[in-house]
Amino acid sequence: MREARGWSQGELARRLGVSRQTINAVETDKYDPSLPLALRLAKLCGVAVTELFIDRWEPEKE
Amino acid sequence: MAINGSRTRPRGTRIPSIFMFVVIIMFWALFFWMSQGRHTSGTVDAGRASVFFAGVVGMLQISFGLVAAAVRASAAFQDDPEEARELRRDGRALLLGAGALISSGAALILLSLTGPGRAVPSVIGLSGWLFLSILAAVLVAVRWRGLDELNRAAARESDHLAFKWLCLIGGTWAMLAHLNFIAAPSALDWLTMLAGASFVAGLVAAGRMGVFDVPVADRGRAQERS
Repeated sequence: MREARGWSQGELARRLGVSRQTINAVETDKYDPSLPLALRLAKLCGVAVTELFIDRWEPEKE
Repeated sequence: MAINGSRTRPRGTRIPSIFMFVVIIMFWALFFWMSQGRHTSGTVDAGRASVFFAGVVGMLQISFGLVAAAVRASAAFQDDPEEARELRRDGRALLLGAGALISSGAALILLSLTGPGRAVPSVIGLSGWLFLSILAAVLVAVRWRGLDELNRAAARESDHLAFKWLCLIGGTWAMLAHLNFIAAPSALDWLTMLAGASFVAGLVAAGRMGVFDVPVADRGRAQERS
């Protein structure tokens, strides 16, 4: 999604006000961003948070 | 700009690396010179080992602090403008962290050389330790304010890991000493364990969270240079 917009990790980091390591860590699945950062990321990309992050958890069926 | 396929290291990393190497060698040489024959009057081998390990941990902290400072200094010599911009932006945190590490390492070395029969009198050692420790604490506090959420999370993880390791290593040692299997850790051993655990935990936590990783988009460029 970042590359589709032609942004480098540094560019995206600058727009979000975080370090480039943070973007790299989120992309390589080493760090789960805070909710505010995830919301800002989704807003910047113009998509829902659920489109950005994959969650395989399913509720237990009763 | 890096030349495609070039096998030479960029000037940007070569100059700080040489400087860093020379300074680290000088520090280690100074430490070994100071630790030779300065505290031999009546001290037992265990005491000498405590001083030696405190010195080693302190020197490692200082060496790593110098590496961080050299990385910041390399911004002026970077061929890649984006890398240079990144280094300048993170430069303040790098320099503050480097200063805190160097102060903390120097404080531990000073303590190891302080006391009756050692190179530094107790009053001077205490004054110096207070100054260096307060300086390190202020630098850490100032640095914290400029960190983003990844680096803050790494710092919290590091504190957590350091506490667990200290409990494990120090606790096991104290337990074995209590049962009379080995000699009890000295006060300097506890301080060394605390400093060592904090230092190594910081590296491990930062490594786990990818703080030292080369960004994905730049891996190609990094490989071209190596």
